[in-house]
Amino acid sequence: MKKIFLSNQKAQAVLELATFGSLVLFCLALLIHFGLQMNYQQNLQMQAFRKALKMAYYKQGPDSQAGLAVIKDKPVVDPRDRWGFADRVSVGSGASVTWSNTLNGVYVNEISEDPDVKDMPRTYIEINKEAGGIGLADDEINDSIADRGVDPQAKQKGIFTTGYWKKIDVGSFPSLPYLGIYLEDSKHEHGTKDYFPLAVRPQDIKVFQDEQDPQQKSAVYQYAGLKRTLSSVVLIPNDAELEKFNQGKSRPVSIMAVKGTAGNDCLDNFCGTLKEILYLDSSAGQIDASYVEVKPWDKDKTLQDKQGILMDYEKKLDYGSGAEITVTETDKDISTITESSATQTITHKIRLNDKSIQEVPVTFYPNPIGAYEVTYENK
Amino acid sequence: MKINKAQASLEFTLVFVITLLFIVLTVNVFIWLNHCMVGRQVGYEDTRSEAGTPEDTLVGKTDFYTRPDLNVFAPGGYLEK
Repeated sequence: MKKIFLSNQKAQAVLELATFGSLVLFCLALLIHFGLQMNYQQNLQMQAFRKALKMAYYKQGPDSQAGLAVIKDKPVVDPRDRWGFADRVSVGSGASVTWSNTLNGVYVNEISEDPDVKDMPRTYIEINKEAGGIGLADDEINDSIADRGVDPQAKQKGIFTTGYWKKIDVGSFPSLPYLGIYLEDSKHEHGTKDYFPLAVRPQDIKVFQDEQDPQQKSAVYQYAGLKRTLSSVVLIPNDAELEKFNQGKSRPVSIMAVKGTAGNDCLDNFCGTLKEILYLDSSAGQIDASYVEVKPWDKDKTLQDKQGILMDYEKKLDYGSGAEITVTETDKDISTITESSATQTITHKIRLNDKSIQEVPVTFYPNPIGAYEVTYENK
Repeated sequence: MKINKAQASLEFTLVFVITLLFIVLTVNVFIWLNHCMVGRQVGYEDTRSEAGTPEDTLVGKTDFYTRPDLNVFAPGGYLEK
């Protein structure tokens, strides 16, 4: 029988070294890979929150909320790359901060005054900003941010609306027989607050003026002797929507302002029945916020329609002409400079409400300090 | 080629020292990575009040931590500045 086991061949030690040495190096590089990635992730998480805090502060107002999503592609040592190329790993984080003393949804007091686009809720997206992607520069996060309109230029800066205002005239809107409202149930058996839906006729809703702030008017439904301020309602134009509402499947809209039939001549704080509603439609912004968060139970379904930053991004690596070595020889020494022309192009995608895709391609070039110079003594 | 009897011991001694050095330097990298995460967390916590202060110069303070340069030959992977 022929012996097939390794005997003391001359190359055995070399073979073992090649096998186990490469394994050890691979494991170490992998650990450094994850160590660096965790560092980048931690840093980005903290920076994103602080930046969102700053944005919310500068917005200054009842709607001073800032939602920020940041993505950075950082170079991390990759043991799987046979050329030792520092592959870029995508690290991302998001933060949402609300800085306000008035946390109700009503922030336009006069219904005759249309809200400005700058009053609309927005989300900020930052993708590889330092490398030429999108995002607000640090010195742009100041007072001027509140005045920035939402236009194509703003999109290039990573500013997107997540809602837009709409106005309906209740009286001249015959297809709106009901409004769905949510009443607080304080008699819940467990002592916790609960809400139950109720479909009411718009004419049964009264408008009251706040004594402290005459400009402020609230839509109130008088039910069982209680005044309940409405901050969100469901618009029910037909029976199908009514059934949906009763099943708890409707999506309420936020009321921004209301107007009664008696106009501004309010008597005993009573301004008549509901005439006009100014509301915020969260599905009418450039990004529909309800698609931003993916719930575990509808992950597969929602991913198809997900808006905002998409999870799948393109990564293209071009080694270029490879490493170039320039040798300079003098009487005293020999100097070699190694340079690489390898580039990596990473394209992140943002899906907007109109189903269009905004691509953010960024090409990363070798860092100038990545040119290595080695000098030998010329003997 | 004639193999001397002490050659294996010599090779072992040399490789053992190099291996130990390699492990120590790699451990230094991990200590440095760990130090960065801890230091950043401490800096972040220390500046929480400042970052929440409604003043232009303080709000949202982001320069709360400066990472020390990696030096694998220094104990702990970095030199104190």
